[in-house]
Amino acid sequence: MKLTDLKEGEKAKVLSLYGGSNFVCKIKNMGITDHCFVEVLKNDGKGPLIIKQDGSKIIIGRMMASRIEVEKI
Amino acid sequence: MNEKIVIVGQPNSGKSSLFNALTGLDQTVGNWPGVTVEKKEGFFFIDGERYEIIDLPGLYGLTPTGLDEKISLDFLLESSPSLIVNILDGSNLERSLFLSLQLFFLDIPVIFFVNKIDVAKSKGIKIDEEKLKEIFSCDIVFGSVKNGEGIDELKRVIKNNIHKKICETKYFKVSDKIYSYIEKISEILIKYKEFEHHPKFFSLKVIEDDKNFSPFICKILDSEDLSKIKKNVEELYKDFKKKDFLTLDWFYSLSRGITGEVTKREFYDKKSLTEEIDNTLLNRFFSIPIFLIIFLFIFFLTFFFGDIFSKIISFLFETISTYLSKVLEKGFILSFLTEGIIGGLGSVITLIPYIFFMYFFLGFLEDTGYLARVVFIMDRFMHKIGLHGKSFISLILGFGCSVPAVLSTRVLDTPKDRIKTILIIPFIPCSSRLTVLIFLGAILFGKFDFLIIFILFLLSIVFAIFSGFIFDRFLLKETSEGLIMELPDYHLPTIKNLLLNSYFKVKDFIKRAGTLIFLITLIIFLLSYFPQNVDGGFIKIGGEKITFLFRPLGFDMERTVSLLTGFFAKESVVSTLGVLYKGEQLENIISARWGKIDGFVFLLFLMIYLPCIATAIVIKQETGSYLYLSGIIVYSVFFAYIISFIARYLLIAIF
Repeated sequence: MKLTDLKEGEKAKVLSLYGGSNFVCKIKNMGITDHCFVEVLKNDGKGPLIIKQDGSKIIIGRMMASRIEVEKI
Repeated sequence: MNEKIVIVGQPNSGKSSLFNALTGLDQTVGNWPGVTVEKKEGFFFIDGERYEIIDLPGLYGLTPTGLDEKISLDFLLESSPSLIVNILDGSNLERSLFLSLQLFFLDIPVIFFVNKIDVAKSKGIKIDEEKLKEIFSCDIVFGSVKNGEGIDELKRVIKNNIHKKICETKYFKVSDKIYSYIEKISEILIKYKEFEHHPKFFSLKVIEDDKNFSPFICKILDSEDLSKIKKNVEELYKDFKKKDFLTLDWFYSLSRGITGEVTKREFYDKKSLTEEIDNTLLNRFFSIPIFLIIFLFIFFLTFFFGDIFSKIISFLFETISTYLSKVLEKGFILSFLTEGIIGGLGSVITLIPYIFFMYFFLGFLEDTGYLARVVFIMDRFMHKIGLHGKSFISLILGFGCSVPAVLSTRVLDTPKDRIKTILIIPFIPCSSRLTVLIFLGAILFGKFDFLIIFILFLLSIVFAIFSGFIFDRFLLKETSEGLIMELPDYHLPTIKNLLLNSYFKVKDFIKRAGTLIFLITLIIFLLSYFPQNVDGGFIKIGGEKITFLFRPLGFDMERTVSLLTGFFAKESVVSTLGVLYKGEQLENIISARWGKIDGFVFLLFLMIYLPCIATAIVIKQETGSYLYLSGIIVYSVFFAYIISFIARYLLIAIF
């Protein structure tokens, strides 16, 4: 499933990132690497999401988030 | 000898606060050569020895994805500083160490300053300082810039480290497959003089295939070494399925490992204060009304406090003028002093309070962390004009002054995002325009002034949004890459930082625009004074020749000329009118001569037409092309004319 399919409060493991190298690099620089765990703090169904990864919160646009494949835990 | 030190850290790590704590007022804000990214330099003394220090733009890692990150990295590679002071966020070690681990590959001496120890404590995170020191062989200072904790120790450590030549981390000594390949490749690269200073770094870039560097590296290598390196890289990747920035995963897994080893986190299920606040401020129904209320309040405060100080200053100038006219004889000298010098200085200085408070309150919103929330709130709407939430921050800065707003677009990721944002900024009513609007509006509309000023203000924002649509549909059609940024926790900013930052912003404004406004007022005065046989001088002669252009809008010669000088600086519209309508109080003339409709049309035109010259210069610098600059000039004048024309005849027809 995609990161955008998660509801608020749900946690997931990142499986893979789909996109060009610039996209992958940007996402990984923010700490969203393969196999890391994320928690969705905010997902209004439209607009950007807020996710929590390690100790930090990240705002991520809906389009970018839809290119992150995750597995719900 | 002066030693050069750089502060390197991730955004939100407290970098500029540390820089302010070390240098205080001994800093200058300039630009990096060739680009208009802000460069902060300063100096400080330790036991009488002088140290130069540079605050680099924030870096997440060493694989740059934006212009400012690229500049920081290029600076580190090219200028070989004596020491890197790496500032880490103690409340978020795993993220901070991601950068720190990469810094070791630069072969530049590094020390760590682990900031926000107090925040970490309040979050229930305990850092085992001794263990962290065991892992890294460089010196580590723990503290909190906000409380001044650890700053003195940091200075002592800087002094001890400045002459040390190299610093390696023990952590990398463990046999690690990727690291062994990095060493192998760097042994090949070190033979080349282009790579000899940072062989490990370039070797890392070869493995990552970072497009910022790999073409350059391949060009320099001879064919034998190139094939050797390629073979190594292939071997390394044999065991891994995917290749995209594998090293970044590696760095993160290392930093997570280290963090796990050195920190103990008390577990509690309670929501943090930041999350509680965000539940309200980012609520899907209330977020926008709250945002509007906060910004209206900020504008109200800016103009409330700005007004008080501005009135005091203009009262002082008036007193000096009246005093001068008592002691001096009527003639050139008196006119020159009162109308030229005091008029010119006055129009600059009375503006400063507004600019100062605008930056002060915007800085407050930024430092608390609310501006990052605004990015979240506005992202959805910015998509409608093909941009994302980060552009909105630049547009908000435009309410202060267009120049820093244009400069702030450097944090945007793609050139198209930057250009689109830059082209919208000139239509955001800046504080100079607002002061002219408020000054003239108050004279013209009496008790309705607030309402009409507000309508004009809204109209220009509507036009800015309209322009965004136009640029997106017809000029730069491309959906932007999307938004990703860190959301910092809320925290209370310190007054000292806010004051320092607004002080340097105002200083920058005076340097950039102040002298220009002063000179223009002076020149206008001289041109209107000579030749003495014509009342109104050269300006009147020239002005009358072009007034016919603006007849359809109902502008007289004085207004036409003031719009021309407004190109040099928007505030000089008022001072030019003052010089041209000489002899009487400006307020009396304007309320007597301008009709209400004429006045409204004039202000409408003023809000839309032409960016000022300082903005024009940075637009040219940042877009790198005269095409965009001339385009925006033609576009803005064309629409200002058409809209004012329509507004005038509509209003005449209605009333």
